[in-house]
Amino acid sequence: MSYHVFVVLHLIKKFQGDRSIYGIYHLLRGKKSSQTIQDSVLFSAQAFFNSLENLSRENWSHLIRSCCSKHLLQEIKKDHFTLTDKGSDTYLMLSKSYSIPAGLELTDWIDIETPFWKKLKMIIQSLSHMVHHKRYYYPVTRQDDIQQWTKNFYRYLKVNRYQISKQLQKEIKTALSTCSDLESGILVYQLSGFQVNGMTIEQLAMLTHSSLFETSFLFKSSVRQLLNQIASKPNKYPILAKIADLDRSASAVSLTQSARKTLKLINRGLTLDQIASIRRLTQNTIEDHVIEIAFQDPSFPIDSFIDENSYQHIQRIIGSLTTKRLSVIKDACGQDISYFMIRLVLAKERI
Amino acid sequence: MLETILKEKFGYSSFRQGQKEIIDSIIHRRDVFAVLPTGSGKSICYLLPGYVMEGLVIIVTPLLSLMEDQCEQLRAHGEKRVKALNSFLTYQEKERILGQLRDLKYLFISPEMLQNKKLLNQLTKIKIALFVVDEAHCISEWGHEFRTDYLKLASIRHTLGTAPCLALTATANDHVKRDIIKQLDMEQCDQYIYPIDRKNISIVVKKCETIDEKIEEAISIIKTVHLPGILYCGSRDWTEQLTSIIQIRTNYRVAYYHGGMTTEDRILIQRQFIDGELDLIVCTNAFGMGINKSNVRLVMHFHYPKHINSYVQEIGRAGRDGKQSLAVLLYCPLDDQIPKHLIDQSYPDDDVLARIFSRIKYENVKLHSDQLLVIMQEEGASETAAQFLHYQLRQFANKDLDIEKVQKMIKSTIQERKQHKWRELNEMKRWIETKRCRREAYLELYNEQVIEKREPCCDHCGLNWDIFRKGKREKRSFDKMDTWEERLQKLLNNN
Repeated sequence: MSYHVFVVLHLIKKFQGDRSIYGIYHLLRGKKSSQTIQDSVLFSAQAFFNSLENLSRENWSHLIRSCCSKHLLQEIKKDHFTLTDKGSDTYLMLSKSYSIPAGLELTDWIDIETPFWKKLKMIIQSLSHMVHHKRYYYPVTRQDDIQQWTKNFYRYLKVNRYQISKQLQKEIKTALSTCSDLESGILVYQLSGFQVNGMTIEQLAMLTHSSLFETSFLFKSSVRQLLNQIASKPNKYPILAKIADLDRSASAVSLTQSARKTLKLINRGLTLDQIASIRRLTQNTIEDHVIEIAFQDPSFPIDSFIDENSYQHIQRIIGSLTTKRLSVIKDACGQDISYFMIRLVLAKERI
Repeated sequence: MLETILKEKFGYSSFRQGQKEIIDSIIHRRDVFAVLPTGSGKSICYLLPGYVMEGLVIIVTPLLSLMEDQCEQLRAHGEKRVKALNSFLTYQEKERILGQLRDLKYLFISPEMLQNKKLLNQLTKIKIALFVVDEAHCISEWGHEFRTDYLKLASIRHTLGTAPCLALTATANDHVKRDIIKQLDMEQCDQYIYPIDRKNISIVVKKCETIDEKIEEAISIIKTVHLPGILYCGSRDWTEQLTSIIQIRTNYRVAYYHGGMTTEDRILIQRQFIDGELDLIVCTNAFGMGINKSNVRLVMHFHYPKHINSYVQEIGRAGRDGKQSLAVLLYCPLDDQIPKHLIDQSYPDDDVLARIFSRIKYENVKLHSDQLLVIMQEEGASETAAQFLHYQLRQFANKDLDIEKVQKMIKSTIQERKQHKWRELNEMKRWIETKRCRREAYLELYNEQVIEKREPCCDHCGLNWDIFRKGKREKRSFDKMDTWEERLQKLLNNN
């Protein structure tokens, strides 16, 4: 339990009440929305993006409530929390025994970590059965695209299964070399194969006498280290690199699909009004897309949305304030400046 | 010859009760209605004819998860000509399957999907060997209000030609049987009805005063009797809580299973249980359908189900290998809250209903629009309640009825359905309270009698716990763990 408390305090401290606990929740679940992606950078919390994929809303709010009842948190407005003095003390104390695994910070390939892991599990399961001369097995995932991908994978490789299997084993062992034994164990013990059933994260947490959060973090840390190794020396890991498919994923600036459509229309010279009515979306949504694009693509021109003076004005105000809360910035900027303009500056400046 | 196929394709050396007769009828192109108890190998009855008869075997199945399970199991046996068609597939996936129909041997499908004109058109072009309705009691249970597509199966079957029809279920009383036969238009069918009584399962109900007492009772039973076992609970929360309590108090390998877990975690836990890596699985009723494990020794209910049918199905997962097994239901007065809550939650209450209808009226929402589902949940209807209401409302779309009249009619449907559920619940409760032989009492509900009494029967007939007691304590704990390198080696090396 106390690792959970440590994580809650760590995150609440980071966000200083500037985002609601559900904003943080979306971050932990890895929600692919402009707001969440931007927040993660704004508050230097990328490491936590997608770190607890299966966290349930109930569990999260339950955890927050229980920290509140221990007077570690205070609610400054609905769903927004900061640490109490007791909370800060507790955090300092917990930091002596707990930490966030370093590998979590390796966020370059965060968009593909989940598909990579699913593909890896499928490949290992099928290879394991192949080398044991079993053609049929009960697949670990029912996701049709992953199953289909696995079939194509073998068609592409055309090398004998024993060789692939041996090579893959070697690659995984080498690529995990930066991980601790615990991290490697948590990763490997989730894999299934011939006469071996993988374990769930929860079972592994129990087995290692640690909390669910810590085990999930250690797992993500190991996957991220693995991907990092692969990306740094793809030639050394031909099979893993093929599974990760880094080239394809790098070429696409990671925009949400909807934002991509909006970008196309902007490039064709339409105004935000026009785009909203064509796409039957609200102006707000289209503005969200613009923010997302500005954030993801530094070369995206924003002069048609904000004039130079206003930009500098907002920039100054932000510099003079310690908070990133929009309403506070807005009050300081005055009537003529819209929320949209402020968010645009924040996105552009990547603060 | 049938035995050869049985051995070759499914690995069994002999037929079980009923299978051969049913298959024989089907091969002779007769319609068949069959009640086979759970765990008697129902699926063999339609899978095996697939290897004898020319053409496609269509299997209508009510549940998505069941459909996928059956599919994967067949594939795991090496049969690749099998697909599942349901409305959850993407357009491309459906198209892909439509293009492959000719090459398939088995097609699992939901009754809703069978309404698809394009699919029907494709199906009329190929030869159909057999039309199967699995879990046929759903026709009667859900068809009338909930899934009316079930009522159209007869006409679809006739559209597809003259293939024989097989209706299969594990539990059907006389009323349900007649309903199924009528709805599938198979009055001349051969009927095979086998007793649902499972003699090798002893039945026990234990009353407790408090929840704590119930937990103690559960733990002491788990510690003394043979496992593996299944422990059914009324909610997801309880499965998790009980699992951690049992983990602390015993050294058994325990895991929970419920619909709130990811599919991947559910597959892992299910495989671990089937492969004997778990001693006890603590679950909601989401666990069980389509699970094939023959040596389950204990089925325990921590909360009682809403319906005696579910109870019979669930205890039927014990002792499929024919060996002596035990079913224990634990009961304490507070338990009555759970099913009451579940029933209430399945339907929108009066306030919610009124709010939804006023929005329909003022926002002028079309009754068949999908937007309704959003509105309903915004107004506080649970997911099941919203689905129920959505379906009911669609029945009135395009009928140009006064909206207030619709509201009244739906209100009375809800009343009826609730009363029906209450009657079922009371039946379950009366069974728990009975002073008679438990086996006789539940069989009576299916117009069956105990033919020969076998010891040990039930707590009211008297039973000696020693039979179930483990010999010398089987010491259980997690195996000594391999290092991760060894584990990887095990997976990828064959030496």
